[in-house]
Amino acid sequence: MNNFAFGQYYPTNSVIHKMDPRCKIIIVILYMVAIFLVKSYAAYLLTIIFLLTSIFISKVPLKVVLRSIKAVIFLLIFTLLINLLFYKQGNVLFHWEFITITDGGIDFSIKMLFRLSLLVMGASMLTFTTTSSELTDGLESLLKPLKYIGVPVHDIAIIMSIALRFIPTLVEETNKIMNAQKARGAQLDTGSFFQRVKAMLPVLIPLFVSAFRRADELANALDARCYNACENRTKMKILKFGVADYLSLAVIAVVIALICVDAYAFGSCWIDKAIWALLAGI
Amino acid sequence: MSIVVKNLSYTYGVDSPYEKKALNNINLTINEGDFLGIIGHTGSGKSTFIQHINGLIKVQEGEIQVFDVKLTNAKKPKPDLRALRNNVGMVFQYPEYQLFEDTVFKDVAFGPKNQGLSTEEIAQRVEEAINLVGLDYETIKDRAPFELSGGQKRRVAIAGIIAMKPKVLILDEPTAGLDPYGKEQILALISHLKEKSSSTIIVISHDIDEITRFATRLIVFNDGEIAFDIPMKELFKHREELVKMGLDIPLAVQIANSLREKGVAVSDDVVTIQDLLREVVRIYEEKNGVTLDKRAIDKSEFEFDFEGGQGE
Repeated sequence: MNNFAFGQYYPTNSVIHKMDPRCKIIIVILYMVAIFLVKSYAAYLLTIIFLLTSIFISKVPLKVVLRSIKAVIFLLIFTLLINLLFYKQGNVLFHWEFITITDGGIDFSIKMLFRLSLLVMGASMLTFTTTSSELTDGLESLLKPLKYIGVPVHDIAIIMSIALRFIPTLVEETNKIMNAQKARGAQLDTGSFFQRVKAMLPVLIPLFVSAFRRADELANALDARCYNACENRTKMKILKFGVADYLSLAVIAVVIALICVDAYAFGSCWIDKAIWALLAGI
Repeated sequence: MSIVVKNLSYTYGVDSPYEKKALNNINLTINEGDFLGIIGHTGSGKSTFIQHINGLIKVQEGEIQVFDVKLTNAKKPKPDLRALRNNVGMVFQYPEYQLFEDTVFKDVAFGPKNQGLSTEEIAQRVEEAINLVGLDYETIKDRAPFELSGGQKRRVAIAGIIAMKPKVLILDEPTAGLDPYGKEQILALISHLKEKSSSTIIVISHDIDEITRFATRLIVFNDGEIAFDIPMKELFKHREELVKMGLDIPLAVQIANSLREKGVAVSDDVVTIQDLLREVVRIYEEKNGVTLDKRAIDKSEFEFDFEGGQGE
């Protein structure tokens, strides 16, 4: 299960955990937009402070949040190298064959690294602090306007929550079947790529069989309880914005405003330029 | 000595909010020829423990010696897991869910094939194993495992393990989810396998009545520790502790207790229904001064023919 630490709910019962899921979804969307508006190191510092503060308030250990980067570490290194070696603007510092390293390239690849890791950490903060059922409830409520143009929002929400609900079950099932086949001498992690794909068949076939069996059982259980997704169903937990929700929306609004001021007012990235000028003076 | 476990501890989800100690300092020796029953609540650590024996869980703390293979938390030398799994066969809970081939023959042959045996040897072992579990080889070998009945599927799955000829056979809740008739068949099959196939058998169950039927040694897991490890005959000594742990005591022991409360002098070492019957008949004979025909007592309720019989 260790591989699935990314995005797994981390219960600490903090203020953030208790926030309205709709508010958290909106904030994460705004946060992502904000990251794409960021142009300077000063603004990155601001988003990092925002992220660290929310991690601190959520009581999720920093170590756990950092672990979520591990899932995309390959992508990070890949983009870093590509940007570093092939970005051609700015003063050339090093040149060999087709490789050019420029100061602009270094600047750009460091910013890209920040951007991607901040995106991943922010997104996983949402899933660390929100259970999957809250998440689907929130999404359903946010997508409600689409109902008027004929989108089956409730159906989509129930499909999503069932899918999310069964991820851990299927992971557990996969582990069980893998163990059973390993006990019968199956070699699942050695051999060439094609050998390994073929060796996975004894795991995949029983997994599919059991997934279909579960789907069938669930459908019967829903039918037996006269479940009907079409009518207007009431909720057990009614979503409501609280003080923390309004406050955090205000904070993210201020953060975005500051980022915009930094990026577009007084000429771009004026704080960075001032700092560079200061450093150059020393 | 076939399996020696020393100071084995295991914790799930280290460094996460779901951290849970599953095993705490387990010490145990399993001898060749043991017929071992393991009981305990869900989450008492029994499943975690047996998965260690088969090398499916990496040892965190302590060590396990299974025949020639030594399992520790050291990265090197790598234990020879193939040799280990040739010696220890493991039948998981609901083993029929691991069937995947399109014929029974191919599915039973999966294990022996992984052992690297020759085609003739595999064919011979498959036939032997299918007959051993009480299915008719000729009629069943070409059928798809998915079209069999629940009990038959389970026996095919067990055959898949037996065909590997393990010295130690571990069965995790072998009767779970079967009807009473299917249960009786599997229990009779286990006793049969002890004679014909694997000399050492370990059975996990939460139903103590099932275990008292055949096991000669009982291990009780409680909260990741071995609460006790006793010969089955001494079970009665621990009945109060079992109740305290929230585990059932065998039906025969319960009836014997009630009889004792009513003033019938039932002897202390009644564990199985057969013991109880014999004891009741003995007391009846003493009281009335008669001799009864006791042949029926040792006969099990169900009789199954396992050598190539139809079974169902």
